[in-house]
Amino acid sequence: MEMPSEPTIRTLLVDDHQMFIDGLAAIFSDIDEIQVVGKCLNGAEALVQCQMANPQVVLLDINLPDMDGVEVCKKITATHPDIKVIALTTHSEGSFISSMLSNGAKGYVLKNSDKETLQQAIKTVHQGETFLGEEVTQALIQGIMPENKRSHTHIPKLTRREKEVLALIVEEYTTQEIADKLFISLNTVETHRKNLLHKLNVRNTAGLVRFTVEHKLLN
Amino acid sequence: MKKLLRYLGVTTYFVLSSVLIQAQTKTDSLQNLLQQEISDTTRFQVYSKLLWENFFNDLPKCHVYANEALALAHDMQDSARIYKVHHYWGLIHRLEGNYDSSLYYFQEAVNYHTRTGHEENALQALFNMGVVSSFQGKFYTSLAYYVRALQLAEQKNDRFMLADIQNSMGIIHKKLKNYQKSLELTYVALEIFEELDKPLQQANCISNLGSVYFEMQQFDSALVYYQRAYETDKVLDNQWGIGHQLNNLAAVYDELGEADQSLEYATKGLAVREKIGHQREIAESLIRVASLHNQAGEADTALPYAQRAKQISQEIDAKQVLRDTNWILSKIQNQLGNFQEAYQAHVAYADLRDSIVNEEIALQINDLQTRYETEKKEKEIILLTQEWEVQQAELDRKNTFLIASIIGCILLGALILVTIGFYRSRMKSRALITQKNEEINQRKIQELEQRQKLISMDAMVTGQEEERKRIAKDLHDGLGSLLANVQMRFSSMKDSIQTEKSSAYRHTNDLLDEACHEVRKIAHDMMPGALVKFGLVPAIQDSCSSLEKNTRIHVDFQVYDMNDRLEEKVEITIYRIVQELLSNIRKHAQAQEIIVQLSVHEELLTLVVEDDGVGFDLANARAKDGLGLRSLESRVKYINGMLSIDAAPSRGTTVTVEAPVRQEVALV
Repeated sequence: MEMPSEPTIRTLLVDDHQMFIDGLAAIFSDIDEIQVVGKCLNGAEALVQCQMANPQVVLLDINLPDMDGVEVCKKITATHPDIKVIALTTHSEGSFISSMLSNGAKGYVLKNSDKETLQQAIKTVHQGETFLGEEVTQALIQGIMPENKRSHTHIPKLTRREKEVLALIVEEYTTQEIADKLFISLNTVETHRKNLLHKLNVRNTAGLVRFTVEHKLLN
Repeated sequence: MKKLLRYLGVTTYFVLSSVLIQAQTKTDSLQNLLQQEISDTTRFQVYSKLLWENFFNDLPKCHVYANEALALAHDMQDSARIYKVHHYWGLIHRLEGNYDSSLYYFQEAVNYHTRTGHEENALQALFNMGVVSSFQGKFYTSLAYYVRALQLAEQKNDRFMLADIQNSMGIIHKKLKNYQKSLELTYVALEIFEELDKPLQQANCISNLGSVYFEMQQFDSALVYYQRAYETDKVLDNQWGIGHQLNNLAAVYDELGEADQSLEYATKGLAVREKIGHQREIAESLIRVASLHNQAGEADTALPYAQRAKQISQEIDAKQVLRDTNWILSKIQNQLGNFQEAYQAHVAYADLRDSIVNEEIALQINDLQTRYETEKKEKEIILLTQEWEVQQAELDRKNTFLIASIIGCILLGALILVTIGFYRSRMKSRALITQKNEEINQRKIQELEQRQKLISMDAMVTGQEEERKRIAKDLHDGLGSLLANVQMRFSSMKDSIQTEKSSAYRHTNDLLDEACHEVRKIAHDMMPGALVKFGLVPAIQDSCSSLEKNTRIHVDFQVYDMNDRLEEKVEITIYRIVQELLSNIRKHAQAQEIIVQLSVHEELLTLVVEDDGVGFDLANARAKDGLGLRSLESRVKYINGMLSIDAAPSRGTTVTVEAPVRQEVALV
């Protein structure tokens, strides 16, 4: 018995719409390798069922009436590291996806996916891998791209106003003089100065000037 | 479990100080008096006495007496006595738990005093309204009543009430988790009670201090205070206080990990409370004892306690106690291996918890409204006071001037000149003052109008956003889910469809796909889920990503020092501003690149949106209002912000918005 053929995967369904859950269960009923071991309408029930029904995979909606789905996912994966959670939701925004994944979800599937995708998702996460649908992967890449860019060594773009302020700082104007010259408040000048320090990753005005000159920022 | 016990331990009590029984006169002898020929005034006095006698023993009887007293007061056509009965009704309803009726009667009493010009006499009624509101969980409303009562107590220099009110305010602040404030108020109250030598009230304050430290998780301090309160209550033979302190001590020992001690105190506390017979408190003690036994692995012993707690809490219809009971029952049954019962108890627990949470949310929304209005009013008062002070200063200055000129004239020795000069300058300053007053009044009216406008705008926008949020959620969760479900089921029929129908199948599937997308898009445009759930930065990140995906414009989104969520009003407004700016750029600017930058510095939020597009003529745009400038301006104004647009034809555009992070501070 090295490899049993198609073992059944104990699956728990969590969604606050009874009809949706029933629909899912109906679809899974003619897939032999998936066994629905419980249907929960809210987060609290899901947590109890994870304890009692001993599922291997949980299909979890993000919008639940009692608790935040992200929270539920975090709790489940913290207390039952062997349970694989798949988010099953209508949200396709990158922020939802990355939030679920960083809180322990192993898969993210949109609700209008077809039977094959769902089956594939359950099988994939059960084998210990991550499953994201095509659209989900797209959204995730779109959302992550800017982060990546920022973490690289290239210099972030300066706004026109920041360039003006930077030029005046380099010319040794005081904050008050800059404010007077640009007709902005002292606080605004300070905000610009602070943002510049952040952007150029330097610690003080001297660093700002050195960086500006070295990288020819104002040319 | 710990958390639940903590709540039980600190169910704070209110001493019904305003309704202390004065003397132990006999109800029977009073009733005999009623049978005899006595004047109406005496009869009314007898009813009052009877009411005070029976508040704690026999509420149904109180109904009878209060009705009789009210009829009598009406017969006597005596409005002072009518008010008095109203106050009694307020107390009766408060003790019976009919809080809305209670508030109504107390309000009537307050109205009477305001009408007769003796607002200071409304002190008791206002204090009671504070107590009742806090029973209802309307903490801000309660605070508003207490503050008014506190002012009156100060006016009357009623030390006892001053202490009592501050102690009660301390309890509210504890519930609002303003622990420092709570401690301050309770210490002040304790000091006054010590000064007045009121040991019973001192014990109450000390116990409250303990419970604040308990909430702050400083269990060692809590222990010291609870023990002090316990000792005092023992000396006073205050059984009710003793029961309470025993329960508190059990909670602290449990937190400190001394299970044996905890169980001992809990059991003692239960015994004391059984003797007093207050059902709710008995149930609370039962839950604690059950939970401690269960923790010690004695689920068999724990079960009967929990079952009795359940029976009691069902009888007295105490939702919160019943919730806690079900929680502990599910734990116990689980340990006993009765999983079916455990599950049922857990479901009952979850149901109750949800319904309690929902009720609390509804209450809080109401209460926040009150808080908002109270703050507004307070601000108005401050403004008016400031103006009054300005006027006073003006008058003072004029007076000084007058005196100086008189002295100057005397020194010159020109008596006539002095008289004339004095007369003239007085006329002049009078005219000046009248003029100034008029100006100030005018300004005040304008300011009030402005404020009114702002308030109504605020209410409208808030209502609109709430509605949008609701519709978006309904669309997303309801229709969206339904459609997704339809598509899922439809796609599962793929195999069973004959080949000649397969193109129709594909077409229908595509339509369903489109419908799903459309619903998602509409819901998202109304109120993006990411904004509600994760806040401004992820929501804007999503918008930028989707713009990059759908166009060839590159968006550079940068965020500095935005670690916390902002006020909802600010988040939604800034989000909509960004949406509007991005959509303008997309439609008109022909830009290659956009910078969106958000930062917080010194409580000021700065948003910069800059593009390298074709720009526009600001004056021209303002005249035509073609670019939705006005809507942009009003959004910025709505969050008390400043808008600056740096634009010119054939040059990129920079839009900067600065707004205070904390909106309520901004209004002052």
